[in-house]
Amino acid sequence: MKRIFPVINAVIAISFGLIVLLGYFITSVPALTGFRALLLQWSVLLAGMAVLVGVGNLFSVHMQKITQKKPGALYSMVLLVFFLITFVIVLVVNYAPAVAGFPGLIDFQNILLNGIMVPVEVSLMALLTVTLLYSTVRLLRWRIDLKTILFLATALLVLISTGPLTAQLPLMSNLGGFIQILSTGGARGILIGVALGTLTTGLRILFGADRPYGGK
Amino acid sequence: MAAIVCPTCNKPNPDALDVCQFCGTPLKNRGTEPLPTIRPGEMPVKQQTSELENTLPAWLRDIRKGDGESAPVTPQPAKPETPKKKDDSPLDFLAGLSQIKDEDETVPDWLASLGGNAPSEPPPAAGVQPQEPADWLAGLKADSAPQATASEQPAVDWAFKNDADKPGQQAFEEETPDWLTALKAQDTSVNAPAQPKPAESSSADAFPSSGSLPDWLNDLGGGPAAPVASAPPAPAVQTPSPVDDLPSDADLPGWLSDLAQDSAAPVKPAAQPASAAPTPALGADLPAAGDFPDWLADLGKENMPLAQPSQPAPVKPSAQPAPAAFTPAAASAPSTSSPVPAAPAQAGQVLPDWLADLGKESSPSAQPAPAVSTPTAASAPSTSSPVPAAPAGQVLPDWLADLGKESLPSAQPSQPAPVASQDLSSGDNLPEWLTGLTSEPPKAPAVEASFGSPANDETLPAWLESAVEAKPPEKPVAPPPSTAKKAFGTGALKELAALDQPDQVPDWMAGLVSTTPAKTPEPAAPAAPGADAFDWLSGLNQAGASPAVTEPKPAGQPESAVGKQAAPETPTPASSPDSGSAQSMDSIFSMEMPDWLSGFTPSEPEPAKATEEQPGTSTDNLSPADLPSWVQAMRPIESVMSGAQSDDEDQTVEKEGPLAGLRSVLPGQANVPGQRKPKAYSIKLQVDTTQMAQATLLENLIASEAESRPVSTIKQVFNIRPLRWMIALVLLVAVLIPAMLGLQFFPLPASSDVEITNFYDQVKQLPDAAAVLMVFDYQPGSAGEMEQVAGPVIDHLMTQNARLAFVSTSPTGVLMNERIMAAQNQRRAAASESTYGQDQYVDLGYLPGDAAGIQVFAENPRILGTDYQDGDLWTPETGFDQIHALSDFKAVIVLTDNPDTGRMWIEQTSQALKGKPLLMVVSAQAAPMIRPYYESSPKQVQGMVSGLAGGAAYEQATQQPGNAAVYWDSYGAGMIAAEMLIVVGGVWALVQHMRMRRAEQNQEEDEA
Repeated sequence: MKRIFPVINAVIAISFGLIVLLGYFITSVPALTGFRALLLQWSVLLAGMAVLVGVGNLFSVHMQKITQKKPGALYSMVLLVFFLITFVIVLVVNYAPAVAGFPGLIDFQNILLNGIMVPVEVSLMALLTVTLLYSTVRLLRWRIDLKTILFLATALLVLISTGPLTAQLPLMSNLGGFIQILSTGGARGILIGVALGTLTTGLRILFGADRPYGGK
Repeated sequence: MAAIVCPTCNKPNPDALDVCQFCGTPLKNRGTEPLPTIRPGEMPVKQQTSELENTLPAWLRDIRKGDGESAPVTPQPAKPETPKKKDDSPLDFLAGLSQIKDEDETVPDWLASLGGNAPSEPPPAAGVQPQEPADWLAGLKADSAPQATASEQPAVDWAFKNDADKPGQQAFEEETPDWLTALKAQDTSVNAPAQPKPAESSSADAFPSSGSLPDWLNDLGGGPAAPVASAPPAPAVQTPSPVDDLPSDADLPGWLSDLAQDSAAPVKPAAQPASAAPTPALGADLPAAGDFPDWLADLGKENMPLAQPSQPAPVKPSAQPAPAAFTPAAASAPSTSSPVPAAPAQAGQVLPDWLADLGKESSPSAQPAPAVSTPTAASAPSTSSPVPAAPAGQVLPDWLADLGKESLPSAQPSQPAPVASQDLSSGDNLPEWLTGLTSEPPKAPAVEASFGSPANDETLPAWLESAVEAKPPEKPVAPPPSTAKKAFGTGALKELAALDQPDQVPDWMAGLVSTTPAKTPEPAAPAAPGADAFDWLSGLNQAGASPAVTEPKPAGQPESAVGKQAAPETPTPASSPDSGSAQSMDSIFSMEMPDWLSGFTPSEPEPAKATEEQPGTSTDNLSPADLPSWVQAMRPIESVMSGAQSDDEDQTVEKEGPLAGLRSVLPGQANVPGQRKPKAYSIKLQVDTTQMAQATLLENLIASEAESRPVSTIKQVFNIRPLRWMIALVLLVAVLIPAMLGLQFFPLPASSDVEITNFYDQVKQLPDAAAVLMVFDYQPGSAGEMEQVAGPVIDHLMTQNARLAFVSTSPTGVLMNERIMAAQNQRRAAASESTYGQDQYVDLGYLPGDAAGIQVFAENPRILGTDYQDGDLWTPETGFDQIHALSDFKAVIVLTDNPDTGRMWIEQTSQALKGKPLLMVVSAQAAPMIRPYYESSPKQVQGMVSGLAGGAAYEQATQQPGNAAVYWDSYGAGMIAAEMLIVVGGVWALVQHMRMRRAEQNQEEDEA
């Protein structure tokens, strides 16, 4: 059985990949296009179920940490408590119209979103800004070489070019345009590389060279 | 209580102890110095045979002494060759006996007789008495009396009874086994002719012992015994006959052939007239050659020449004291004085026929026996004795008849030797040695030496003395030779001599003792054979005893077989007194004896012990440590000497098993070679100073490698935490101050950017109530930026009265669109503008599957056709009933802060849009990655608004003030603050680095 399953998996993956690929190129065959769409829909459903499975896994992991009293169990407990509260409130508010009219329930839902989730994440972004700046300031103290100086100079020019001073300083505006060209060229190269990598990975999967679904 | 000092440990021991209580060394063998014990692993030292003299028992030393004394006296042709033989064998303990001449110790009688002490000494004068006849020989001397009373004491008593009440016998038998006793008797008969009464002893030893001997030894014993019986009457005329029976040497075993040859050499002196008489008897008693084994027949023939040349002894055997008891001559000697007649008749009743006839045959020889056996007394009686050989021929077998005929001439001692010599010399069948034997002149007086002098009577027991006294005194007594004392002065027979009391006499000796009264002139009644005696043997004894009884009688009376027994024994001594016995002794020891026989040697006599020991337990009573010294001398030293190492530590005395009593025979367990303590080697290295220095250097190098190098730490210029707070504080001030003041310090970005213009135009070109798909794929963390960018776009769309459908590939995207729509409605409400109600936009929810989901959604947007609140969204009420594909949407606006998400939407919806504008609202960090799609040709993205600057520019394009302009000063101030911090920080770092370099240089200069 250990030999049969990988083979079966490979056959399924390769066959379905070829069908989807051919469905892109051969649009004149409705059956093929329809079968390709069916397979894609199944994949979306499976992805949606995967999110639920992920949520369930998250719940069980933190629950296990609490029962085993591992380090950080307190945080897990907070997570699970708010997880259950959010789940119950959102479920009630959206699928229980009678209950949803209970005063303060919708506001409590908005507080969970606007008062906790968004400010926390935004604050993290703000801390990231301070941390990055601090690192940049101390970069030359840890390492002084050409690469470091060049990196620090590029960052400084991008900041300047994207800042309000660009409009005030024509030189900086031109410098900002030059830096944008550099970034765009770099991004293109990255995107081309990503495209080639994606193509190669797809071919390898279709040819059975790579088997991310298991097996050697 | 006397103490015995141990020779080994020098510690005193009680006299009663036999073995040292401290070290286990035997204490009682004082006459013998034991060899030093060779311990296991010890390298034995090769010693000269002469050095082993002290290790020999007394009797052996007596033999050696006898040789030493006899050597100069009697030149013996065969003797010089004998030591050479012995020298070849390092193990021969007798090899060096001839070298030692200063020892004078007692020798066992039987060996003394073999050693030929008598012949070694010059024949003493007639008046010389033996100085010190052996005690045991004295006892044997009394055996002549038992010979006479053999009828009273059955011969079987001593022959087959080993009773406890016979200590003398026991002691004697312990020393010598029966078969060897018989052999000894044979040799005694050969080597001790001067003894007047050998008949009893020899016959007693020979015949009874034959019962326990192997056949061939029985024959061997019987061979000489038969001549004994027939020796006295053997005339010289008959001597050739046995010579004719001499076998060829090829029939004999090797060693016996040598024995024959060796014994032949001493025979030459046996041609003395004294010993010539019994010689015919020897051959006469021999059975026919066909009855005997050839070799044994030859053996008998070999012995015959000993007697043949002998001549009648000039001295009466009766004059010889006890020492003659062992010799047949001694037996014949009293026969002349014994008046007991009719012994043959009784013997004939008991004996088997042939033996009876044999007795009858030998009976005539009893009278001449004295002449034969005792050289001193061999003359008159023997010659006058009739030879009644007639009855023998009636029943005897032919060979015995011939034997009787042969024995008849022995009765004529007057002329035996010449005739014998003539016959022998003339015989063609004679071997060379015998021819030489016959050619040599005999030495007559040699036999006389074996007779004891009257002085010996002092040491004789009473019974033996009586026997001596019973002998006719008128006969001239030959002076006892000095060798006689040596020959019989051994301790073994002293023990027998000590049995002067009838109570102490063992049975077998009792028979001998009981014959003492027979020495009285009165004829003793022939003792009837005992009930337990074998008939034939008792008869034989009677036959043997009868001559003894009839010893005093005239020679004319018929003699018993004893006389015949005595006769053959006599010749050998007759030839031995001076040279014959010595040569025979030498011949015996010069030959290569078989292993079994060479290993035999009687133990050193210990009379006291022997009398105490019980019969039948002789072997058990052997002291385990009493290893005879001569046995030690026989140890294979040569084989041990090769490579053996001494180990003095092992002094273990074996306590059990066949090696009991031996010391250091087996290695102890602790000295097993495999367990030997290994040799200690010094572990200290022998190094010189150079090597030591190099080793030290290497050790230092290795030690330095093990040491960890100190890591150069960067000095903390200042504390890091305040720097963090300072940076945070600077940014906070830079952001908060513009926002709090509301100043428009920095001008808004221009809306003239192409991407913003294109975006604005695409939105501007949307028809009224066009269905626009808005994808909210940004995270709450980016809400601060994305809301400021997406707000002006959504506001513009609301202005355009577009129907909005929200979808998100992120779970939190749904919350973001609600959040932004709520914020726009709030702003629009604050601005007194129309707000968007729930009927103007729909939320399609979460689109899972990333690229696949986008692909499916692009092909069929209705996959998400059900609103979780309002049900079906693709109804006419919502205005989305015409939407069946993605291309049915007038525009697709993707709001994302993730370039990958934007890239997926661009890539997966490009075909599905079918020319419909794809607009991108992205964060500043995603703009560089999306911009290539915007700047591509054809454009995959028709318009793009990125970052706060794009939002502020889009606000300016729409002429709708929003939060982007508000945050623009804060954003600008924060950017400048950050830029300044980076610059200042960079410069400070460079300065610090330069200072550190300078400090290091200064330090190096200072150090330099």
